[in-house]
Amino acid sequence: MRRFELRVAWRHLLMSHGQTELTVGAVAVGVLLVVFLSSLINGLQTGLVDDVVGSIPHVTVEAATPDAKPLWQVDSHSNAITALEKITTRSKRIEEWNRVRAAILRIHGVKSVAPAVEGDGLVTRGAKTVGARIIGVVPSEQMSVVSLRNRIVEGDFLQVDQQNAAVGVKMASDLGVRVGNRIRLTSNQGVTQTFRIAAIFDLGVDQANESSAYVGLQAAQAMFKTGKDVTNLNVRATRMYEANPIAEQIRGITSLSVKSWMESNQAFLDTLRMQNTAAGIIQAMTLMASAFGVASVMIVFVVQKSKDIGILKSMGATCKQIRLVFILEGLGVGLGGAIIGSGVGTGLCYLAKSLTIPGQMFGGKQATIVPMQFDMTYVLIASAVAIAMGLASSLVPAHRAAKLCPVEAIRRG
Amino acid sequence: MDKDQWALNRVQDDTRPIVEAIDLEKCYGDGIKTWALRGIDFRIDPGEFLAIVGASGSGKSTLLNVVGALDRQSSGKILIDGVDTSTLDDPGLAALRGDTIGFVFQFHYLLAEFTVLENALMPQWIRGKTVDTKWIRALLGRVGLADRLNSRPGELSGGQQQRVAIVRALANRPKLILADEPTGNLDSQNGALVFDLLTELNEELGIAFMLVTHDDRLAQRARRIVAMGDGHIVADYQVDQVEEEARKVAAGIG
Repeated sequence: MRRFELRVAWRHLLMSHGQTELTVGAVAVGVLLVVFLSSLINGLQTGLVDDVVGSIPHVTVEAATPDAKPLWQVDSHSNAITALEKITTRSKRIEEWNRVRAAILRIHGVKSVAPAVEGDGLVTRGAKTVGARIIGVVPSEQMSVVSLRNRIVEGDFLQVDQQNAAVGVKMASDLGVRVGNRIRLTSNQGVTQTFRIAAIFDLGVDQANESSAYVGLQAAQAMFKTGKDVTNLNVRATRMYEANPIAEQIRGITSLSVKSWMESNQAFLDTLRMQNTAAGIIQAMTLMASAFGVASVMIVFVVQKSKDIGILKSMGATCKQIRLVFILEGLGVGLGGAIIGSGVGTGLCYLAKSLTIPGQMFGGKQATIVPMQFDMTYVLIASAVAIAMGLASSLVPAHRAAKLCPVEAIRRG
Repeated sequence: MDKDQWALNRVQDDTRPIVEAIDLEKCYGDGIKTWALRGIDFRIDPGEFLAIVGASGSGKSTLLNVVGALDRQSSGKILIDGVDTSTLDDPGLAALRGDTIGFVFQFHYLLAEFTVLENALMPQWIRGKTVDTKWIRALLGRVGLADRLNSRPGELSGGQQQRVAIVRALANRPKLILADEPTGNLDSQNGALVFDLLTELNEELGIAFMLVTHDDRLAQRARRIVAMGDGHIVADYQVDQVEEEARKVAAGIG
């Protein structure tokens, strides 16, 4: 057992006239900042991602829309117009969607699949008419692929069926309607039907709030004349960031058009990634600043202790032993900083999380001022980095101490 | 520890010289060379008590550092307890310093963070040996510090601190104690006490002492005097017992 090195290092740390407190403090602040900043950014991003992704399916499977072909690619010039006309009038649909759904459900990582019939149309209330995206769904199934529970402002989404519809808050206010009022929907196939408003939702996305109108699946099938077929299959993944590989596998089993939310929201994801990079750089720089602080204090400490080092060498201490003393001190500083920084950082995270805006609710919960999302991983990573940092910042001072010439050190009496 | 037990701590008699220097030279500087030691040939036998005297810059401290394996000679050979130091690497030199040699410096250099007892135990901790607290306590008792074991160095007088440093030098039962101006930082009364202690320990334990001093009055009380000048040994003589008596008488009259 290295009793001598441990004893001297420990005693130096205990009786350093403030240097230990200073260096441990520097490391602790670094760790604290990393833990707090990570939790804050994670919290903010989770909220943001929830707003953007919560109301849309992770993967959308659509019947492929045949591209209109330029004339020179059409086989026979004689019936080119007929060919193009045929394509535009044919409504796209997924045939035998139950079999497709069963196949998708077998893919690992897929949580649920819900059918939908989507198409463009108009919503009319009295003299007011607005354009709408009419979506026919089975409410209970739709709610298993997108999270709507906290997004219903008024009414009950489960009531949506052949006679009941749900619209976004923006559309409701544009038309001046409330739950219980009636609206008229007209599909681009020319079918019109009257619905009672059963629910008003807020998806957190303006476009959806302004133009989405949900009706029952069978009602939409009738309005868009799809028969028993549907136009979309909406997929929910167990883990949202696995959407891309799942989309890839679906492409492997169907010729339908498949798009993951990640592909549709590339710019948003890039922003998140840039935010993470920026946060990472800030955290790394903070830890580096701490490390330089620790190293410079330790270099001064070695100079202060040069006589002691000289005398220890005269008593038979080897260079290796002296080096180990100061490395142990660096490790001690890193460890102390990690423990204090993690403790205080975790405490601050929970404190910040518990701060709420009095009286204000958000998504059915008490609104918090800072959306912290604490994760033990941050503590573990920050602590490991802090300990490594303490070790690294002690290397140069320890080397200097080890190489100190005992004669020089003692002569400077 | 009573008197008989104490006597058991004597270094075993050995006829081999504890230090043997052959044509030892030391110079500093690459371009303009400054010679600190030139052609030093001398030896120290077990149990000797010798004082190195000379003006400052005469090379006496350099000689002490080379003998103590704290510094390396430029040329020549030095054997410490039969071992050629030029054949040793850092751990080897450190082991030699730790096991065979004890140092006492002008400034006591006790470690402020440790108690008197811990400071005295330090050489044993460094060498990783079984800690012999009994021996250290006996030594601290011998130098009159039995009741200060748990004091910090800062709470002791200069003389007391130097006595702790002497105990520390003896911790690993060395064969040679090197003392560089051990009384230089003390008033004459405390200086004389410390010097007496060194001579007594030399007699009781049979450890060789090599002492650098510029205090001629103290040096005259050593059994052998080596005088240095310009890096050379200019005189090396045994203080005759009769001469010593005569000096004592003369000092008494004066």
